Amino acid sequence: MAKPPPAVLVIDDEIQIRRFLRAGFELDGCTVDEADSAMEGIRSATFKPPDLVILDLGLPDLDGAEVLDRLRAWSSVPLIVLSVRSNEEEKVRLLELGADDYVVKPFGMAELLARAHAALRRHVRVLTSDPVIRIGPLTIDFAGRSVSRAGVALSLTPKEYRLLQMLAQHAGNVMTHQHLLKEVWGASHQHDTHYLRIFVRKLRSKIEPDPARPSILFTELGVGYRLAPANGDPSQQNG
Amino acid sequence: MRSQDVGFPPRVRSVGHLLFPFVMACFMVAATTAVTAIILHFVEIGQVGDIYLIPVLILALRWGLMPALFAAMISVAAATFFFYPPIYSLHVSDPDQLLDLVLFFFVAVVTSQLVTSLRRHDEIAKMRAKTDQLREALIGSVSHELRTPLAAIMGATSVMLETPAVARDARLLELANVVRDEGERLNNNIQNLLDATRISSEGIHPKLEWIDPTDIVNVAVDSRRRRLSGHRIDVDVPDDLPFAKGDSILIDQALGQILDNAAKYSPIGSVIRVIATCGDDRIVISVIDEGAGLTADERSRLMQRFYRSERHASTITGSGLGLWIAHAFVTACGGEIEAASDGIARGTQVSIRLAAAKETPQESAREIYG
Repeated sequence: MAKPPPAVLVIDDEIQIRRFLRAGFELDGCTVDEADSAMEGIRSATFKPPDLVILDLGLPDLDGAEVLDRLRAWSSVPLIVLSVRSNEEEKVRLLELGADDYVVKPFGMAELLARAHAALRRHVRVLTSDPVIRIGPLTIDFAGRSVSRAGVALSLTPKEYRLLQMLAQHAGNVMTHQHLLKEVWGASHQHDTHYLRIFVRKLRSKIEPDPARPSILFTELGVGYRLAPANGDPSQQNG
Repeated sequence: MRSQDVGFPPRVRSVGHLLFPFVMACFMVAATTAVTAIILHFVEIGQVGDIYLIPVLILALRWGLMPALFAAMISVAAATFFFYPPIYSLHVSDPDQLLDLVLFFFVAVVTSQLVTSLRRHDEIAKMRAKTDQLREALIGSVSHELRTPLAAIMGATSVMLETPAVARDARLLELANVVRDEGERLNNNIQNLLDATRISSEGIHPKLEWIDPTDIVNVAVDSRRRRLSGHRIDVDVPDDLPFAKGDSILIDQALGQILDNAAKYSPIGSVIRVIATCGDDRIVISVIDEGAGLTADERSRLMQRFYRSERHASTITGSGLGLWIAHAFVTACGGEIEAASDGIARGTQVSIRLAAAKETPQESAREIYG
C-alpha cells in the first residue's frame, strides 16, 4: 500500500529560506507548498490541509503567535516554528499555544527534519493508537503501563511513569516545564520547576545507561525536556 | 531647503531673530507700565516697582539672560520716570530704587541661568535617548540583516550535505563542510557582538534558579560537539551533585565560551577535561586543557574586554570578547570565574564557581513523593 508523501506547507517571507526548505523536504520525499505571508499561509492551510506546517515567526503581516492561534482553532496539524530570536520565554509561549517544536535560525536541515518526523509520528500514533513505543534500549508499553530497558523490567513510581509517558508520547519533540508539571503534579504546581529537576534526575538514574551523560532524556535549558526520537525514525539513522 | 530659496537670506533673518526678544522686552515693559498706571488710578499700591519683576521673569524664562537684563534696565527707568517721585524725571531720590535695580538684575541672572541649565539637561537626556534608540535599532538590524542571509547559507549548505551527489564526492563534501563550519563561526561572532552590546548597553538580567550542573555541562558540550570534534572531550560530572544557583542559559553560554577557548588554544587531538565538583557550599565547573597555558600577565588580563595576548595575535583569530562575556554572565549570576595555569604550554584551567543548594536533591525529593 503506497502512502502518499507527506505534504509540507512552508510559511516564510524570505524566499531564500523557502528555497532551501523546499529542496530539503523534497530530498526527504515530501511535497512542498509555499506561502510568503501569514494570510496566504492560513488560506493555503484551509483549502489544502497539509500534513506538516513550518511557520516562520518574523512574518510581516501577522505576529507568529496570532497565526498559530488561528491555525490551532480548527487544526491539530503538526507544526514547527522557525525562530530567529533565542528567547526562551517566547519559545515556551509558542509551545504552550500549540506548536509541536521549534528550531532557532540558523539551523541545519537534519535538525529540522528530526523535529518534523517526530511531530509527524506523534500525529500518526494518536490516529493509530499504537500502545508500544521504543526509544533506544527503552520499551514503553502504554497499555500495560510497563517500562523495560534492554529487556529488563524497570520499576518506576506512578509519578515517574506518568512523566516518562508524557515525554514518550511526544518522543523527539520538546515538552515545556509548565506542561509536564501540570500533567504530573496538577495546575497548582505549574511553576515548581525544582520538583521537575529532582524528578528528572531520579528518572534518569533508572532509565539512562549513563545518567551523568544522558542519551535518552535530554534537557532543553530554559524550556523543558526532550526524549530521544522513537526507534525507526528516518532521522535516527545516523543516531 | 525650499524656504531658504524664497525667504530672506539666513544672515538677515538671524539678525531679526536676535532683535526680536529685545523688542518684546520693550513691549512688555510698556504694557506693564500702562497696566500699573491704570491700577494706580483706582488703588493705592506701595511697592509699585516690584510689578516689573513679571516681565523680567518671563523674558528670562523664555529668551535668557540678555533680554532679561535689558528688561530689568528699562523697567527701573520706567518705574523711576512714571511712578517714583519726582514723577516724569529720571532722577533717583530713593535708595529703594537702587535696591529694585539690583533685585531685577539678580532675578534676571538667576532665572536665566536656571533655565539654561535645565534646557541643557533636557537636551542631553533627549540626545541620550536618541543614541540608545539608534543603538537598539542598530543591534536589531545587524542581528536581522546578517543572520537572515546566514540562515539561508547555512540551511542550503546543510541540504547540500545531504544530497547523494555531494555525499559521494569527497572534494565536494569537504567544500560544503568548510562553508558550514565557517558559517557557524560567523554566527558565533555575530552572537558575541550582540552579547557584548547587550552587556554594555542594557546590562544582564539573570533569571536565577536552581540548576542541575549535569545539565549545564552536557548541554554545553553536546551543542558544541562538532566544534570540539578535533579534541577528546572527557566529562567527569557525578550525577548526585547538589543543584547550583544561576541562570541556566547564561551559565551554559559562559561554559561554552570557555570550551571554545580551550579548543582554540590547545593542539588538535589533545584532551579537554570538563569536571564538576562540590565543596564549601560551592559548585565548581572546570575546563582543563593541555594547550598554550598562560603567563602571569595573560592570566591577570584574560577577562578584560578586547584583551588578546600578543603571543597568539598573529596565529589564532579572535575578538577578545569571549571570556569577557563569560565573566560578565557568571558574575551577573553571583558566581565567580577564575583562570589558572602552570605556565606557557602547560595547559589552562578555567573554573566557574556558583552557590550550591544546601540540601541534596534526594532530601527534598521526599516532599514531592510523599
